[in-house]
Formats: sequence, structure tokens, C-alpha cells
Amino acid sequence: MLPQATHTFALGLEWRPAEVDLGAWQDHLLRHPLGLEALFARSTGSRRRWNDEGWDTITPPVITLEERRHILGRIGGLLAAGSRCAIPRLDREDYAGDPPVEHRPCKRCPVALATVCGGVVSEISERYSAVTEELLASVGGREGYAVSRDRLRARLFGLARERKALEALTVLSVGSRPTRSQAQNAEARPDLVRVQRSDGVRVELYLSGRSMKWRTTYRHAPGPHPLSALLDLAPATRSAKGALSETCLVPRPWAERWLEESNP
Amino acid sequence: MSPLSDLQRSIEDALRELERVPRAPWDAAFAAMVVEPIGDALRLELPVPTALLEWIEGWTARELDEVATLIRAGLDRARVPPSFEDDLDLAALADVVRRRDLAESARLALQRASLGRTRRIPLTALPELRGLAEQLHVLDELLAKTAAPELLDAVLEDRRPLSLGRPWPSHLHAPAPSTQAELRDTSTLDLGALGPAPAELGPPDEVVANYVARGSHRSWVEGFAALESTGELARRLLETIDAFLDPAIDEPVSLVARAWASRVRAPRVAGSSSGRRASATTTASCRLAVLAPQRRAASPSSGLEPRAPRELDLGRLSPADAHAQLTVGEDHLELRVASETGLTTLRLGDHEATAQPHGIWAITVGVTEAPMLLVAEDAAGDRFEATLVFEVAPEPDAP
Repeated sequence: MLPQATHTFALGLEWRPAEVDLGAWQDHLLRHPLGLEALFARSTGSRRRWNDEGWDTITPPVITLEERRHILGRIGGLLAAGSRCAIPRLDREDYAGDPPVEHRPCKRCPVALATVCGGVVSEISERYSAVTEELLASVGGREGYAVSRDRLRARLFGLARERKALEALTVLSVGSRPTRSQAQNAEARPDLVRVQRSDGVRVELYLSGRSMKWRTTYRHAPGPHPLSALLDLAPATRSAKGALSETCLVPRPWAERWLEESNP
Repeated sequence: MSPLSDLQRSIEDALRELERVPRAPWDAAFAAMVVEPIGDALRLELPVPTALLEWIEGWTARELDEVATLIRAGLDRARVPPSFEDDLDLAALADVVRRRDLAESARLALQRASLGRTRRIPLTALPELRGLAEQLHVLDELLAKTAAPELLDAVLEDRRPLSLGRPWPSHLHAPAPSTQAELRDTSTLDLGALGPAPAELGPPDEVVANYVARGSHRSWVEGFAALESTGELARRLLETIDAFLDPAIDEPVSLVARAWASRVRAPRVAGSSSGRRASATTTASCRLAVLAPQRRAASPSSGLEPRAPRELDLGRLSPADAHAQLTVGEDHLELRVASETGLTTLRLGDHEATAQPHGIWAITVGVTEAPMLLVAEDAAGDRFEATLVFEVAPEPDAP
């Protein structure tokens, strides 16, 4: 169940507890904290490491290398209803070769095996969902302060050398998911909420009307500067401009300290 | 507001804010962040605050390479999904394409910084910057194997206007470039591969007028004209150019606009599937009607004295960093080209220019109606080429 309790937000947004499909949840857990996303992708030739997203370096860590070795060793040995884990290269911690043909096997994992696997990763799962909820809570309820997208972006550039300010910031933005063509872009409605902080941790939620549903939690591999993680807001919606996609939410204490002082 | 206006405003806001941020002490991560909006501005030909430009032009080779290293590290962490099973894979692709586009801007700004108004650091002295260009090429090859150009173009989203004139996504599906110049010049590519451009990305009237008169915003104007399915901008451009050239109006028309009109009016390229015409590096022929000043009567004792030479502003020789002026004398033509970052070549017919003080290059030729090839190439390797045909007519006597 994610979230554990209902979160409400300025702008009338709401995130109610809902079941997350087991296969989808396992898929995200293994791809992000356990690092298979990095190993299964293509890159410019450099060796990809399991912790490229860096879930072992945030405070507190969601996973450590020792935990990963232990968990993947157990997953590799699982047998449920005659099925074994179909993930290739489970034992790899870095990799530079071609991606596997089947790069999202968890989505098609038999329920019996996924259920046992869920028990093996339960501790990581709890930490992963706790980070997700914590990020949303920091801009939820009375904590959320609404600011226009343009003003926030400009202010962030002005704060580029104020590491303390950037490190204390979480931003919620509303936009639309990428589409496959310009024509679809032009028609896109607000259907995505992105919540991000400067260490690159991001939660994305589907938006339907004003109701949100968890989509993914991942860590955007850090760029050269903390700003790069904060400026990449949810893509603005072209077809339905208005309060939703033009307004961001930031933590109220942050706004009072760093935004208000920039008011003329 | 159009996506372009939004993007333009956001770049201008960013640069205005960054101008106020203290630049000392040196912080490579901060510098790596600053070069992105500066590069964005350079790509859209927006003004960059002088303080920021002077700052980046003051970076040492070691500092330039330190910034390039950080940009490379960020690009190195970009992950291209192996396939597009669902919208999460599409989002991952959008992320890598955005990173690649930001790196393009950063690379351009670093290149500009290495070619300051007062110095020129060769690429051989900047191994990381050279490595960045190569890394972009490797990533491009990877993207080309993964996704169609239309898809790459779509996921660029709000940064799409930056690529209108130099559409690196279409570059990915072109034959591999064999030289650095080809690598840089995407203008020979089939712009039609990207599909039509949405109307709201079109240049406003003042941008069109600046392009026609001064050659500014070439990549935006010509890029949009090539992609627009209705051909409306191309029609509007031709009408404006013709109107400006009308002796009754006699407004300046830039060489790039003349060259574009010449290419557009040229016969279609046989076998072209898109029906589009060959683009920018085709040597266009520009007809320049020049009025040679006549000697006029002076005092009886001195006989005849020449009239003041006539000046023609030929505008920016985009994509080269060069601005040209033509002086028409009684029996000679003088081409003067100013360049902030410097020219490696300026040639008109058989004549080659040498650098003059204050960043001016000049060539003087006798008045002739024979076609002459003009080549201007700047220190970054960006090149303008057009064949000039002067149609010399005597200036009518003043009434």
C-alpha cells in the first residue's frame, strides 16, 4: 500500500493509499535501489556500476553493497511454483556489455515467485517507500508553498552558489509525460507530478484530475551541480496552461528563508 | 506564450540572475552549470551579458578542461534504455536526450570561451573539450541505433526550439561525418526527417526582419522555413527580401538572406524524396546591384573629384562569426569583415585577406561583373560560402 496515509497538497492535489501491483513494485525496487537499471541500459562505453544511481550514498542509505550481495544471492536461489528468477547477470556489480533481450523480467514474474521475492527485499522495500513518502510529505499539507515555475527557476539560478539553500529544497511540479510525437505533445494534458530534491532523488506520480498515483521513485544520476537535479521540472504542458502546470510547490520554511528575501 | 518565447524568457532570466552571482572563488561545478544557459543563448543568438562572456573568456585552458571533464562525467552517467516497453522507458530516453542537448550547449559555450576576443586556445590544448565532442558523437551513434529521429525530436520537449536550425537529432541518422567540419555542420542534412515544425515555434516579425536585413538568427529562421509544412514563412521571406531589394524601398538585405533566396529559387534537386531543396552549404549565387559612384565636377582648377564611396551592409555571414561590409568605390570594391573570435580564411575570388588591426579583415578587388566565390571561415571552423555576382551600374546624378 502506498502511501500509508492520505497526503493532501496545495492546488487541491491528493494522494490516497492504493495497492501497487506487486510485479511493478519489484521491478522498480530491483531496477533502482538494487541497480539493475544501470546495468541493463546502454551508455557511451564506460563501465556501468550497480550504484550509479547512488542509493547507497544518500542519508540514510536505502541499501548497502553487503545487503545487495546478500539479497541477490537469495533471489538467485529462489524456486516457487517451479519458477526461478529470470533476471540475467544477477551477480554482476558492474557491466559494460550489451543489454539483455529481456530487460524488464520482473513485470512478468509469476505471482508465487514475486511474492517470495517480495519477502526477501522487504527491508529495502520499506526504506524505498519511506523515502518516497518523506519526499512528498515535505511539500504536502501546510508545508507546501506555491510559487510560479518561472520565478522558482530564476531564483534557483540566483542561488547557484548557496549550497545550503539548494540542499534544503524539494520541488513538486506538474506537467505531462513524454509522448512519441510532436502532435501528441501538443495535445498532452497534465498527467504527471514530479517531486525532486537536490541529491537527485525523484518521485513521479500519475495525475488524473487532482488525484495522484505512484509511478516511480528513482535517483537522477547527479549532474555537475545540485541545480541540475532541481531544474529538470516535469515537462510543462503546452495545451492546458494554467495554475497546475505553471505552479510549483516548495517547503514553506525554505520559501520563507530563500524566496521571500528575493521579493522586491 | 509559445514554447520558444517561454524558452527565450527562461534563458534570459537565468542569465540575468547568474550575472549577479559572485564568480569568485573558482568553482568548476558552478562554471559547468553556467555554461549551459550561455550555450543556450548562443544557439538562439540571444545576447549574453558581457560580464558573463568576459568571465568565461578569461578561463585558463586548465579551467576550461576542468569544466569539460564535469560535463563529460554527467553525460557518462546518461543511460539509454535498451527498448521502449512503456512510458517509463520513454521518460528515460527523454532524460538522456535532455542531457545530451544541455551538453551540446555547454560544448558550444566552452568552444566560444576558448576563442575569446583576445586569445585563441587551440583544441589540441584542450583534450577534455575535444573528448567531449567525441563523446557526444558516440552517444549520438547509440541514440541513432535506439530511436527514430521523430521520437528523439519529440522527447526534446521544451528544448526543441534550440535545435530548429541545427537539428542534432536528424544528424544521428545521417551518414557518419568524415571530418570535424562535417561533424559540426548539420546543415546538409535532410530536415524533412524531423517532420513539420509546429507554428508556435515560428520566428516573430522582428526576427524575420533582422534576419533579412542583418543575417541574424539564421539557424532559427532558415530551420523553421525548411520544416514548416505550409511554406508560409518561406513565402513571407521571399516577399520581404524582394521588397527590401526594390530600388524604391532600398533597405539592406543580408548576404545570408540573399543566399537563402537564391537556393530556394534554384531548381529542385532531382530525386529528392522530401521535395525539399539542397540546403545551406550549397554555394548560392548572390546578385548584388552596386551603384558605382561617378566622378563629379569640382572646382574648375581641380577637374573632377570622386564621390564618397557607397557602403553596403552585408550583415552577419552566419554561421561564421563574421560581419561584412562592402564599400563600392569608383573603380574598386572593398570587402571588410569584422570577427570577434577571428577568421582563419577570408577569400573573395582569387584574393585572400590578411588580418587588419581591431579584428578586421579586408579585401580590395577591381570592379567586375565576373562571379566570385566568397569564403569566410572562423576560428571555430564555422564557414560561410556564397558566389557573389556584382551588377555594376553608374549611380544616377543627383537632381
